Amino acid sequence: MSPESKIDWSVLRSAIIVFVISLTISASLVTGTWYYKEHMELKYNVNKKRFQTVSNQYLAVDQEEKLVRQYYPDFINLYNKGIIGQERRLNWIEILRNSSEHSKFISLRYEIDPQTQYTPDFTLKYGIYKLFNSSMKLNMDLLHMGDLRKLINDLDRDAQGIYNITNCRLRRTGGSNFELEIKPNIAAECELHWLNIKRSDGSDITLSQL
Amino acid sequence: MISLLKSKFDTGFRRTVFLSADKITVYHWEKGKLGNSYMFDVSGDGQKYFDRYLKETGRITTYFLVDLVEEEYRQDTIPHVFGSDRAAVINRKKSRLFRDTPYFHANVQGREEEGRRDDQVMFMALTNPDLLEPWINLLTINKVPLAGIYSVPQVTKLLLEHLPEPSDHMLIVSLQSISGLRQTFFYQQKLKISRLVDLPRYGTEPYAPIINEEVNAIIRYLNSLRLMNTDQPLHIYYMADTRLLAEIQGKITKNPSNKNIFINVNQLAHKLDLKREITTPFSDQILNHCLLKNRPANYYAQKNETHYYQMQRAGRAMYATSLLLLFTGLVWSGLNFINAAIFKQQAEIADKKSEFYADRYKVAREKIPKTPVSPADLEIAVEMTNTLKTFKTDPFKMLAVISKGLDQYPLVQLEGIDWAAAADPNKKISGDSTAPNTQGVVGYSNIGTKDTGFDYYQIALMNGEISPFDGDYRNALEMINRFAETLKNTDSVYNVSIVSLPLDTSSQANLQGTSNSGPGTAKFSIRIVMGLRHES
Repeated sequence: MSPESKIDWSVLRSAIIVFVISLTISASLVTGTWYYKEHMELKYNVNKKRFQTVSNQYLAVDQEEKLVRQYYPDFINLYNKGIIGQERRLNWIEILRNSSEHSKFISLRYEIDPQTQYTPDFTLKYGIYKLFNSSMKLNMDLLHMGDLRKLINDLDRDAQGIYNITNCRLRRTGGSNFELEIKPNIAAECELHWLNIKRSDGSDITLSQL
Repeated sequence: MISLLKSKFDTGFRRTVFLSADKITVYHWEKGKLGNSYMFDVSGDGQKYFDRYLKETGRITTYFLVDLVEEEYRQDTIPHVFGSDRAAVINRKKSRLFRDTPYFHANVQGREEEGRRDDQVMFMALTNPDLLEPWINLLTINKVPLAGIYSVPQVTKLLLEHLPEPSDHMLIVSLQSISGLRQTFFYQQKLKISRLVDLPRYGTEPYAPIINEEVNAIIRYLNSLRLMNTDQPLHIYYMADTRLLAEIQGKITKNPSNKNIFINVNQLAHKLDLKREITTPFSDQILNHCLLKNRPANYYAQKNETHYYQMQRAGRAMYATSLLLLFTGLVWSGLNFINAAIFKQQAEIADKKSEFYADRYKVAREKIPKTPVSPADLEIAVEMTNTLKTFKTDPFKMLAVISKGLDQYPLVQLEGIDWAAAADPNKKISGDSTAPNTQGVVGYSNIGTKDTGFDYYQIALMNGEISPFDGDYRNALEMINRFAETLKNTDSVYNVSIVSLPLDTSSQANLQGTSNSGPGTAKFSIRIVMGLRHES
């Protein structure tokens, strides 16, 4: 092999060593300081975000006070009515039973399905909440439509919760007027949606957090 | 003596090795000027000492200068071509002119005035490579970076710009202590011919007569070659010390076509910034100084002979790159560090400000009752409930509308109602027909999805009959239509459509019956859609 075609590493050894050392030092310096800078920048961004959050909270504290003053009583009321938090099925059954007794319903049968998440067909702002629905099916034999109205009035007045009547089927079943026995004139089947607001993360809303 | 040298030289230093037929001299260059010099015999012992010297001094960049009789010059022309073609032509010339030596150089000096304007090329060669090779081999064995091989005439060219009264014809007459008398002729600053003559040992015989005789001889030779333009004088530069110059002036042959210019080598040395006194008539130091100072491109050295020089340059490039890397790394990391320090300071400021506002927020928040959700979420929950209440419906309003209609039509008897509430006015409810137009009755319409202006709808499918029915279908149909029209004109009723009639009179239907049968029944169904608006 001719001298010009081979590299004499002994001649270049020092230069290569110096080059490698320089490269190592430079790379270490740049990498080290870059990571340090990135760490500091991240810390700065975290602190800055925290500062913005805290300062915004502080600036909004008057607004928060106003909101609490305006909405918290209503919120407590809704909680106590079972619209927010746990629904009050026992209360609904008691209302149905009392109303049936007072109105002397010929028959009143109810069926309540398990509660499921519900999305109504109108726009609703949810925030941190989800809406749930317990479907209640009522089967009634009525003497007249006034009985149904009275039942609904009783629910509106006394029931803990908010509901929506989604459908009703009314059928005339009236017999002869000459019979002595009291017979129903109308068969009514109605479906009520008892609506309930809960946290979307599943955690309970309890006023014990006060 | 030699053992002490190594400590005095670093790789940044350089030197010339000046070879003649009898002696070889080494000149060192340090701190921008000529330093020590060392002389060796051109012999076996000389090579041993030179080898030892090289080993002691290390890998110093070396410029090899020769002053030998065995250097030839040939002026020739080649076609005016470039690149590989020119290299091929020059190689052919070299093979023809200087077949037995690798030490060859071609210098393109201009072009012919006439004809095809060929290139004028000066071909030069050291014709006896055996004189150089032992020394070059020692350099290679000791891995000494050889920058190039040069001859005295080539280096003499570097002196031209420093000489007074420049002319188209310049003959430089110089004496070298180890080689002898060198006469080099330049035409328009281009080397044309050079001649080396041995001189007797300095001090044994007067040099002036020899010089005069040799100068006259070369002038005659130049005239015979017709290298000079006769209209212009020949400037002859005699380079020597004061004493020899005086002797030359005394002996010189006067010729009106020549102009003799006497250059004191000591004064020229000062002019060249040599920084040492020259007390002899010789130009060795001046030539070596010019070579080391100007470091011209290689003339004669082969590629394999400059191998270690190329490696040295590669090594220096790596050192330079290393420095650049370090510098870049320092600057870059410095900027990173400064930015990091700025971010750190800003992070600390933001942290302190956060704590400041957090404390004040805590104090302010303590005045507000604690809530299970955030105040904003309190509002959302209440507003959700309000919206749900807004959409709360019951069937009594629809029943009132139907009841009002029934009051006006005592023969219309109600059988049943299917009622539903929905945002879609076309929502099907139980008992609703899937094909509303089967009877082709007028009044049933698909409400569509256009903006009706209502937020919500109540939909009822009313089933009824005309009772008592006397069998007059025409009257029954007319009554049902009027009943539907009455409902439609009621406030908040958005749409009324007849779903079925007692008799399907459409062309598509199969219609059967007997003309003398009983009156039968007149059942029908009507779909009623009420629109609801919510005050926001």
